[in-house]
Amino acid sequence: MLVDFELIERAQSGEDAAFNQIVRAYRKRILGTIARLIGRPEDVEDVSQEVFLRLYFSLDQLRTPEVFEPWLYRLTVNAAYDYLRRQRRRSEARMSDLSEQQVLMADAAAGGRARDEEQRKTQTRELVQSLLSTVSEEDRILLILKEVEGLSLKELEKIYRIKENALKVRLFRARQRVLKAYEASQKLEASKVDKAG
Amino acid sequence: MQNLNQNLDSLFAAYREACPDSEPGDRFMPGLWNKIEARQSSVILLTRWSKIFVTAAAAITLLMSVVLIPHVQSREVYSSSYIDVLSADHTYDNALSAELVRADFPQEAPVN
Repeated sequence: MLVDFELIERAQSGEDAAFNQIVRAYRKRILGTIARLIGRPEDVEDVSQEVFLRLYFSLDQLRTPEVFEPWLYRLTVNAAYDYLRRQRRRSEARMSDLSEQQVLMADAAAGGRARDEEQRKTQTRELVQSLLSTVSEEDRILLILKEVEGLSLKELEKIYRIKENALKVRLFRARQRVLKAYEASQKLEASKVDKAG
Repeated sequence: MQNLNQNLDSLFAAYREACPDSEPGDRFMPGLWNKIEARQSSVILLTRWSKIFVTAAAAITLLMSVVLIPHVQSREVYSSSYIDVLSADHTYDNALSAELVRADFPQEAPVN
């Protein structure tokens, strides 16, 4: 926990200064999580503000401060999911761009030139976003929370209020789909490298 | 397949590095409070309209219970018994029946 229970209780009783402190404590983490969940840097602050906005208006429904973090994660997941749903068309368009990005990556590999760090990061982000667009928004979020955020199954169980076994099944299926897409992208990349060679 | 699995794990780790936790811009907190205030004012407006609606509904109910209902109940139909109402309602029918009976059986000449 980044804040103590007393601060949460004070925020629950309507103290704006306490709420401000909570936001300051969690904003960096939430911004990072949102960035990894939605993959669009320009919208990260907007979606993060939506998370804290929802927190502000639902804090009185939190029964015990002990479950604050899973609660905040749930709000984060919901805000990201709503955003992704709104952006569905755009993500479908990105899916069709997958091969183009793979070609770019293959070209880079074929060229053998060392790209600078920022370009490499951008390519990684684009590749992962493309791979994740092969699964539903729900599965994409779940997969990122598990594989990228490193949340345990127990933590996910608290956030989703779903049994661990059901989560395992969903995660396995989602990962299999992403693996398939990744395999296809690797094959394409290898063929491009061969042609260039 | 095992190799592919490991590669995917590495890719996720690289993705985590490529999207690190970052501090928000200067406009983050003011922007958040602007949004909170905007929503609060819309909630207040909605609450105010709900209160007006509830008060108006209560006033109408009160008016109906104090003025309209006693006025309607003062009618004879609500104060008399069922039999009274029935008989009053059938007065015309009874008179008509009597006329019919008289028409069917003309009075005989009085016997001297």
